[in-house]
Amino acid sequence: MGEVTILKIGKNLIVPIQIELHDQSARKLQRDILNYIEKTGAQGLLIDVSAVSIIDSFLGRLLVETAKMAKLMGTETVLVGMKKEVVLTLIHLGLTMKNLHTALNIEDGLALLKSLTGRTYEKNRK
Amino acid sequence: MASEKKEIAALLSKYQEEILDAWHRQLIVRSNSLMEIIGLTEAKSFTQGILEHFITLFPLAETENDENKSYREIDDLFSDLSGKMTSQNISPSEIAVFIFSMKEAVFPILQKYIDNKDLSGAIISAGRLIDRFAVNTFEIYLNTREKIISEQQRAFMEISVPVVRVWHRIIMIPLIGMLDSERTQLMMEVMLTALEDTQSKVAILDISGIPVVDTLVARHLITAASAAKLMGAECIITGVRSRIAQTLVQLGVDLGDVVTRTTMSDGLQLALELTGQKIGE
Repeated sequence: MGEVTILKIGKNLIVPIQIELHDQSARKLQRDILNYIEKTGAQGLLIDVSAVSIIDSFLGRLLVETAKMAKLMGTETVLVGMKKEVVLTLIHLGLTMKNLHTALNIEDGLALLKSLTGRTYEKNRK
Repeated sequence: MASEKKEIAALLSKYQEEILDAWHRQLIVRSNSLMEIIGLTEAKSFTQGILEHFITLFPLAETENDENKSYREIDDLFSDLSGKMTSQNISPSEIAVFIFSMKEAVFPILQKYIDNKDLSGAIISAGRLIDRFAVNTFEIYLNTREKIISEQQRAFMEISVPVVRVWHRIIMIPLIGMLDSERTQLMMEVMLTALEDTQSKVAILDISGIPVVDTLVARHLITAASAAKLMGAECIITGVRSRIAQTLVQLGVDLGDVVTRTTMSDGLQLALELTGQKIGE
């Protein structure tokens, strides 16, 4: 079973998911990400799912939860590169992931993270 | 009964010419306009085919139905007849008259050559078969129509969702006509494909061409918008006229955080702002 690498670039963590996640491995990934945030104190988290072709309700919920947990730790999360088949499935399942930031690709995702983390910083300073 | 039927069939095949003559005479009297359109030679080939099948099918028991080869053959004949007549704008009732006038050709022959005792039985079974023929032609006519309608529907579906690349990273989808769930599904697929292919950041859905926006249509629009959001793109809905705004609020529809604008140009302006672009002064 493959592992998901977690990369740290600047103040952001990048998690490119290159394998199909099962329930077990998805839970492990969630733990790993949160541990990593704790260890590095990253401000932004970018999860790239462009290689994932199946996101079921469990994985969808797990991703939303991970974003919420990260938010509690002061980290903004952006989910990037969702495939159109995945989107259609999620819409069918009624999972609109309203409180999750999304972007088309990593480039856009990083730009969005920059504005998001910048905003919180501004807010904190006031 | 079966042997009697065979006898009748033999009788009919013996007097085939006579029956056909009577039938043609009937046709000329009763459906003159139809004969003018398809012509006597064409009609003759059909009547002959139908009568031949009638004679082979007549002795068969009524319980033996559609699996029989002869029935399938006559179905082919009828679909040929029906198709030809439909393409020439002949109404189904005229086709029915075409078949029914066969009765007036067959019955006199039966009357002439069968003695009183068996006559009513023979007429009833002959009538039944002819009625069945007429019903068949009608069914085939309906099926042909149905096929045309579904083909047109498919063609309509194919052209119904055009995607326009209005600017760098901005796509626009003009929606026209009724937005039912099937079309919403198609529209979403087309939109997501376009977003993926062009990596566009903004999708503008223009609803100027949708005559009525009710709760259902609104829900479909929200679904499409959240699909675009999941992809990481923004969705702007333009063409919200005053009437639509009024109905939406009166219906208590909450569009959530979907951005809406009245005109396309306002929507485009907003899209340009969102993508950080500017049109030169």
